[in-house]
Amino acid sequence: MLNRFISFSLQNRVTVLILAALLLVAGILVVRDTDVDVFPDLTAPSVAVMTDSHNLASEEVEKLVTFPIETALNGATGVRRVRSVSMAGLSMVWVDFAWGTDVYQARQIVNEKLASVTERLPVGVSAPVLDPQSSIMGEIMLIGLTSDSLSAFDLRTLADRQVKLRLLSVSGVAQVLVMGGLPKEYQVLADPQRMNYHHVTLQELIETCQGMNRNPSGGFIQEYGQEYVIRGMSRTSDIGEIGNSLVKMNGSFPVTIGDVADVRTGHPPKIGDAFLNGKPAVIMTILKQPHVNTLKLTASIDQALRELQTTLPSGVKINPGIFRQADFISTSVNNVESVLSEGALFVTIILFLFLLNPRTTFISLIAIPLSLLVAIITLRVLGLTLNTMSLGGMAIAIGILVDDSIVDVENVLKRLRQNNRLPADQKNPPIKVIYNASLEIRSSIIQATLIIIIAFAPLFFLSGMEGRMLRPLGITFIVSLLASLLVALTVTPVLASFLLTAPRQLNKSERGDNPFVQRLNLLYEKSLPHALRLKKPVIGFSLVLLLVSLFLLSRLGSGFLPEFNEGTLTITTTTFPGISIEQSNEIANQIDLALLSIPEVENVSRRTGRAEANTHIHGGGNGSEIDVPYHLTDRTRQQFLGEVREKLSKVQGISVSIGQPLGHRIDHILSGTRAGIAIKIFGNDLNTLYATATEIKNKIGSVDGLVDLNVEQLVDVPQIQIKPRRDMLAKYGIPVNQFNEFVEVALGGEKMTDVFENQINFDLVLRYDEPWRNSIETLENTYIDTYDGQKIPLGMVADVVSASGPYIIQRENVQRRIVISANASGRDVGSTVNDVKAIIDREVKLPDNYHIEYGGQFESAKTATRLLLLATVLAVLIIFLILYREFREMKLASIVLLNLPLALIGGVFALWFNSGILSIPAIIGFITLFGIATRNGILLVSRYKHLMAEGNSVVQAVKAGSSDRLNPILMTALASGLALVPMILHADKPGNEIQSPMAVVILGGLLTSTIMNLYIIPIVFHWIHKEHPTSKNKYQDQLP
Amino acid sequence: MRYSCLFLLLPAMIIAGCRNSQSHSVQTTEDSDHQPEKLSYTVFSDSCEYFTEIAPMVKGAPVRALVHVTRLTSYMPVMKGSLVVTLMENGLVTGTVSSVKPAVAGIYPVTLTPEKAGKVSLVFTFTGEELKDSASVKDLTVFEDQEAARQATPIAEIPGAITFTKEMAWKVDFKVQCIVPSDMRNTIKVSGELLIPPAELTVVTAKSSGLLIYQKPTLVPGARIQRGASLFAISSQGLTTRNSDAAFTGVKSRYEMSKAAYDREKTLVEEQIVSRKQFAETVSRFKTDSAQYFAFLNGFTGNRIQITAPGDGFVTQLFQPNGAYVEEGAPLAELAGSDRMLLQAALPQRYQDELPLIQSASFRIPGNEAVYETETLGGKIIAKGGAVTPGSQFVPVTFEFTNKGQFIAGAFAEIYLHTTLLHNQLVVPIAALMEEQGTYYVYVQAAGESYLKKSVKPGTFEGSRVNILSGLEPGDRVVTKGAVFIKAAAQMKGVPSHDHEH
Repeated sequence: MLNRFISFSLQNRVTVLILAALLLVAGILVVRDTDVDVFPDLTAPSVAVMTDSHNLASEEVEKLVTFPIETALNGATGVRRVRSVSMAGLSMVWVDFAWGTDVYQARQIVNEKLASVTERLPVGVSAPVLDPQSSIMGEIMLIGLTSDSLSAFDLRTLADRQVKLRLLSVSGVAQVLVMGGLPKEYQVLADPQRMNYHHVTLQELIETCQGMNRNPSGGFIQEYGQEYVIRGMSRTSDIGEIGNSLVKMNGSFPVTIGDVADVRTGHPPKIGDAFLNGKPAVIMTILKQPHVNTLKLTASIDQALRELQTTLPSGVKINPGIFRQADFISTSVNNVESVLSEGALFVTIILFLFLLNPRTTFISLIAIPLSLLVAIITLRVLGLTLNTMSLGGMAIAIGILVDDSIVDVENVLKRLRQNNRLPADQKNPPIKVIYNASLEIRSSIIQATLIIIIAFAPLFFLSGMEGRMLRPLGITFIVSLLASLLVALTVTPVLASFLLTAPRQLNKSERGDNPFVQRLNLLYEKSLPHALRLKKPVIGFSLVLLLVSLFLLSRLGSGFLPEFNEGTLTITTTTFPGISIEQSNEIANQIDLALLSIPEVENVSRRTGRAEANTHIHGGGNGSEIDVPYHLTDRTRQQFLGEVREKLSKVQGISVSIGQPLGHRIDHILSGTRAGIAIKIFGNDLNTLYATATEIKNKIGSVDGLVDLNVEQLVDVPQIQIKPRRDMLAKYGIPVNQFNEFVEVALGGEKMTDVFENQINFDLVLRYDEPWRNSIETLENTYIDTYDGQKIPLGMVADVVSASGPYIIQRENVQRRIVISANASGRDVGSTVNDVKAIIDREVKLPDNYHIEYGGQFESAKTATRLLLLATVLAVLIIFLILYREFREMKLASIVLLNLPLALIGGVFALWFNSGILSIPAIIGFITLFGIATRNGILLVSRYKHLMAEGNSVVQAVKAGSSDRLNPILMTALASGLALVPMILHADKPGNEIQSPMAVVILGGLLTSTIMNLYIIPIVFHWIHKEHPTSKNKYQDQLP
Repeated sequence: MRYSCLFLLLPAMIIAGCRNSQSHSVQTTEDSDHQPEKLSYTVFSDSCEYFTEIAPMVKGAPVRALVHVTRLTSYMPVMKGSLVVTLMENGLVTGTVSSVKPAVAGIYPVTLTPEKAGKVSLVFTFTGEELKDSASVKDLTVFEDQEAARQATPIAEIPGAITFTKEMAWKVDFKVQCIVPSDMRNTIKVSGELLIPPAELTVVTAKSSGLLIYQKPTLVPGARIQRGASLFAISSQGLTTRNSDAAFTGVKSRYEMSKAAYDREKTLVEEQIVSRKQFAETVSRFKTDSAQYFAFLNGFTGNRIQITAPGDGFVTQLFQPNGAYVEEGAPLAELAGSDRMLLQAALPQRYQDELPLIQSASFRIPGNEAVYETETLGGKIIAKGGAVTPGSQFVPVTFEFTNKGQFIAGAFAEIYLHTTLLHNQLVVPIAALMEEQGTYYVYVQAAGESYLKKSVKPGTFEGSRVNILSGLEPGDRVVTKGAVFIKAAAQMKGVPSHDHEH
């Protein structure tokens, strides 16, 4: 059938060219229109359920809210993992679905399950809500709002009511989280002494506040032929007016709110705060909806911000550059693109050097754009984005893409020359020559391509995040390779027929190769006989190299995906739980200052505590997340990070974990923790969990390479418990529910009504004034109403006790857990974790019913590696099968497979001298390498076989065959290899991190396998066939 | 780097109060194989703290020291100036080095070369623009050789010492104060009212029945009045019955009649014409009638009876409107007489133990920032209620003071009740106090960068201060600001890197 491709193309030459041109145009159009992103869509199908558990303590939230929700959701269709956090007043449950689950379906499932739970939740707990449909990977931008003129209130109001609303109106924005500044509210701060003096009870005040600020409707009247709507205009935002509202009459004297309370604007107790470069600011996190192009969205947001800037009061500055995923996308995509184009340049140079013929070079090169564009169109059809991974797949493939065409062009040119040399009457028509020449190599290029594709296939066995990450790379690689095969079978012969058939051209090209290539040929022809003589030393030397490389291989570290260089650090800090947010700020401010003193740092934005309604919890007020974009100038990233760690280590009272925006979020998705290594301990008692975790932390602290070692601060935080004494309550006639209401309203503060300022609503909150609730002692002395309107000290009817209780309870799969997190630095994750495990196994005895699970990147790396090894074995078997089918002889197939160990040698050495870490991409590099290396073997062995079939002796066949194949082997290997050089040179540039280990392995392996292939294969072939001189006839029989 | 093992805390620290106290501690360094462990010394002058880490000194060997100079009042590093470090032996100078500029703010690097072995003192002399200061560490040993230095280094860890670096302390809002005994008293915040003493209230009543006429248009509650000022008149003009005019005429004629009888009988009785008994009756009648007459006459002008103010003061209440008919004896107005005023505080029952100790009070009226002291107002406590006020569950505590017109009776007051002065108390700011589940503790500086958590028993609170009943000694250096940072350092035991040279 494939023959028909060739014949059809040669018969419809113009059509093929026009189709190719159309493909070019279409491809370019698609490229311009394809979404660009940094990574493939990694969003795990995850649904977050948030339940506002008003006023419940964390243990009660866990028991009454989280547990019912968890149990309902655990075991629902496709649920992979259920995690939860219960903290005072808030329950968060994350439901992670199996990869590939449709997010909408997942939400549907969660919704259905929740329906049955909602009615079982305690009174006062609001219905669970699903988090807006955006994962933390969608946090695409942080913007800062600063002002030197506005108050913290006004700035926050501006952010909440103007900037946020405008941003939400940008299509594609899912959510905008605001932190920092002071959210404004109207406060009625009651003074119980004055209430006592005026005989006003809390209940009377509550009723007054609740009914005070609404505009009643008086229906309408008809007069003068018109309809007048009648409205009572009681609503006001004037503090004086609010204060003048009557509470009750005391005899003939009116008592107003202002008589018993201070009315003012203020802010609710802070749960979060934000700083930009150490100064108070409002920081807004913009989350995008899934499947929205980040670059385009960022452009629209920028536009919106520019428009906003003109309407904002002067002195208010929007800083859109705190964190921009778009910048990382552009930088990394640009980097990969430049690597790609540099690679293409290298390929061009190599081809030209070897072919020394612009026409053949052109014909070979045209395969590159055509194949790549086909790959891009395929991506588009599959609904995938253009990202560093898919571009990386192209960068790796680019040198291989020309191979099929080169082989074809070479052979066509050779046959044309031969034809040209024939006497005129024996000359065949050029088209026929081209057809036959193409046909001749057809089978070997198909086999070779097939083998590479099969070698690449294990990549598709990867599941989870690494699978999602690498799959686009595999798709582009394979599709572009297939496309290049198709090009070699169609466009290449057609172009050859146009460009290479002119006799002048053929005569000219007979002048042969350039002097460099000629010298190479000469060198090889001279050295091969020596090698054939020195079989044992050569093979022995190779065996030694192989053994050394196997030894090195066993010593390589293991890793998951190489760390990205995102150009921004995400530093998470924690101090002890229960610290007040002001103090937490003061400590974290030292981190800000330390970071700002580092020259590379561009700005430092910090968010401490949490924003309202945010699922990305940094912990309580004790946790901060700091985003630090930096620009490297003189120093390397390692040196820079060294200074960062050194400076941060000086700040006491805080523990620090250094990550990067995307890396940090990927870790979140993988293990639910922020760091690369997560040791999870499961058990029931929080204190035992914490004690065990601390013990483990102390024991593993000395492990080499382990940094950012943190135990989740699951310690108890202070509480003040107000325990009613029921007998005393009874004596003073206070029902328990009135006592509860007192605690909620007087001490906690409750929203009574809304106050509108120009369409913007603010809460009006009633609460006791601060001096009546701000210390343990004043709580005892604060006043509660008795049944007859008298006020008595709270201490008379309740015990006020300082106690402690859990602040936050984390669970995973319906079990309490604590996480010890760490990162590896200066050492690979795999061996670091092995050391940690060894210590834990040896020295830590877990209490009964407690168990440890290890999570994080290394866990994923382990499963992925195991999977890849299995798949590789399968792939090698299949490759062997193909070879066997080609040669129909076990020995020959085995000889070809000899390339695998040869390639391994170079790959391992390259890796050893490069990073020393066998990461997932490196493993994939090896697999790819095996495919490419096998091809060289096929070229040689099939040529030997052919020559022997023509009647040559073994020695003649080996010598002539090797010499014949030197050029194409060197050319393809050099093209494939050198195309990767830019990738390796720019390995640390953002975007190249993941593919570069692949490139290192392939380049190293290609080097050894190509050189050694040229000697070892002839030697082994010669060796085997010398012992079986009859084999000559065997091949002759097989001649077609 | 691990560090903070304290081996010596001189008792002199307490004896000398906070002056020139010094402490030594051992600093281990990472590569302790090669270097002897560093010792740290802390010494305080009146205004500064000198903290240095220094390897054991060996004769003839230069040793590098980083001296951290902290200004005690602000607990900030001393930025400018020069530091001279002198080695003294028996009062003789054996070596002087100086560091003109701090390497980092507050850190002065010096390199000392001791010339002789034996006991020496390390004298820090600081000269800056605003500060001249010195302090010395005594009894440092200079060793003969390295071997002796290695062997002699004593190590005794103080369990539980928390490291908190100077650099961190300088950056955050932090302060350490030396605790010296002082006076304090307990303060209880309560609410109450300003009252006029009941005895000072006078009710003006109608002397006769009639129509009430206000004599001043300015007669309103709160109006100041002079003694004898006319307040009201009661007129009977036009009244058909109970006409005071007619009554006056009757009284006057009775008076004139009995006066005439008296005048006549006065001479006759001497002549024994009239019996003494009869004259006594006449005198009695005359007295009664004249009393009646003069009572009427006083304030009676025309046909009105004037009612005047019995003393200086002001009107607190008016009971009858102008023109009302009042019966004789009806209350017309309430007058507050003098400038005495009462402050009545409502003390919650739980403070009953404090009741006998309460001595004075300060108070403020809502809406007014000024705080008034009963003592400065010439006041005194006049009653400590023995019984709970019926219906209010509070014990009344009453003070009396002089009102110069600035207070309004009936006003609501926030009151701080003060107990008797307690002498020789160890008082710390409340900010120094940390609490955990009902137990209190403070952090005490053990050495330059070492702090100890000490359990304390707080006594009574006075405003922002609290006295410590047990757990502290005079001379202890208590962290009075930023204690939470030490707590954070203790809880998040990331071992700080302690390389002061950047």
